[in-house]
Amino acid sequence: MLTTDQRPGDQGHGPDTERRANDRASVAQVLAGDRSAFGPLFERYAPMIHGLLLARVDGPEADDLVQDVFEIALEKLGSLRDPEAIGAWLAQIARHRAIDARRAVKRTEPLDDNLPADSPSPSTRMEARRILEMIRTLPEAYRETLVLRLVEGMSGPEIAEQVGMTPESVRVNLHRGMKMLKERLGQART
Amino acid sequence: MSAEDDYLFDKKGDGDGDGDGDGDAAANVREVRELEKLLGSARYVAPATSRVDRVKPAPAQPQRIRQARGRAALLLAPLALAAAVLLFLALREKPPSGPSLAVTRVEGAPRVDTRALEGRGRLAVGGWLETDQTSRAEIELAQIGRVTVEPGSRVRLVAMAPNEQRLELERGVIEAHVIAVPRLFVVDTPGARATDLGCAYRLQVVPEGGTMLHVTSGAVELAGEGRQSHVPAGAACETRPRRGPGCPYFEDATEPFKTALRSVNFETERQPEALATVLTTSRVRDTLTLWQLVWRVDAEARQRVLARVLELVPPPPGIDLVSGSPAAFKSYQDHLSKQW
Repeated sequence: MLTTDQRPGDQGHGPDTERRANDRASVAQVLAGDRSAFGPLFERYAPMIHGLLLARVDGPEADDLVQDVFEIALEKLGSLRDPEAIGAWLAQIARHRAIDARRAVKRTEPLDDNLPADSPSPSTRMEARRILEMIRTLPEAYRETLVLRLVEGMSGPEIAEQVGMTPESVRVNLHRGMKMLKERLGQART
Repeated sequence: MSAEDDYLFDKKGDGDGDGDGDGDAAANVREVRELEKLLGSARYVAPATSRVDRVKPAPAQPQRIRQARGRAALLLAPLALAAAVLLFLALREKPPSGPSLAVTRVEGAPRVDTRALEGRGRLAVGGWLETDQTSRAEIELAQIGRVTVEPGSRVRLVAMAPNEQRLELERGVIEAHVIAVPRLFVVDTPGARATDLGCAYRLQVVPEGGTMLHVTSGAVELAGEGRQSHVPAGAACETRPRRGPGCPYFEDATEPFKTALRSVNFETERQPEALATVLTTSRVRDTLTLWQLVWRVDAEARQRVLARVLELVPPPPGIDLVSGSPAAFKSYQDHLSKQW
């Protein structure tokens, strides 16, 4: 088991080691002037950023804010101390950006606008929206991991790797978060 | 940990008839799966025309997306290969000589130099892209964004280098969506130079040679005729021939403010009256305009403008403008900019 001081991947896991090396190389390339290297970082982290935003704001706003987060990141990339920790750094930008957005005028677009054309029926969408709103009432650590897992489809190890948490913390957050969500779903049904 | 926890954590141990879970575990896993299915409809889908998306150099998809699409990709591979060969042959007929940018017809019949643009093409350095009143085209900036060329426009690619991508807008309207380090993307117009500071904006060259800039995100620096204006999101800035850019203003300013500002910026008559109107109708947010106006008016007027700025946004404790130190003014400007 990892201690809380360890970063995920410190055990030398192959994929994570590769990811960290790739991140370091991409950041170095961008800072050297090759902006195309920002593309893989966007590809890798956009779903995670979207999930963290969706844990705080509605769908359409989360989509917009994903763009903002990467704009801010590109602008401030030079201040990133540890390129291997870019996931956690992006996550922090996303959390701050979501807070700023919530202070601003609240948008009123329905979640439906954010769903793809082949998404389920309106009633199912409404149900998804209701559950997302319920998740947003959970403690921050739980709602983040639940949204990343249930909405973005990331596995626990992927969440740990990208957000900069230990796998055990993610496992605990998922377990407790799901328990709380079920309780609230149960209360809502009765 | 239960089968549900295992499945929840790493999507393994589904407990669904595999013999390792009891009835409750299987039901719990099913419940998680139902939630996944329901909430998965809100999953992130990168927009096709996102300003950030355009930064991507068509990189490989993330692993989990690759896996999900692997079967479809396998089936489509022969078609993709055929398309790639056709594309290669098409491009080989007219290879771009030197640096160029990809251009795409959006509607109508835009032209690149003397050729009609059908589908996609390349705009070489020195080449012109022209749209008539019914056509529209899009320029893909190299890894940093895109520019939509609206009807009735003429645009030239002036330079394309690692540290600069420069267009010239001779007439018409462009909308730029750029995500790049500041000052990488520049647009020259007959009366001013718009330097991107990381943003989205609409730039129009009017028939008389002036320009109108509307910034929708980030900021743009507009310079010409020895004047320079910093235009943040939500603000606009007008440029007149031989006068350079005026002071920027927020688009939600009152009409009397904007009308009077136009006089202050570009007219020589009735300046005192116009300045008085600008000052009396200004709001806290309009200190964006006033702060830039401070540096453009004569000494007497400067005192009045500065007094109004200080009235609208008093300096916080610790900032001593009386000292006249550049550091104090910089601190105050930072404080002011929080109101914009």
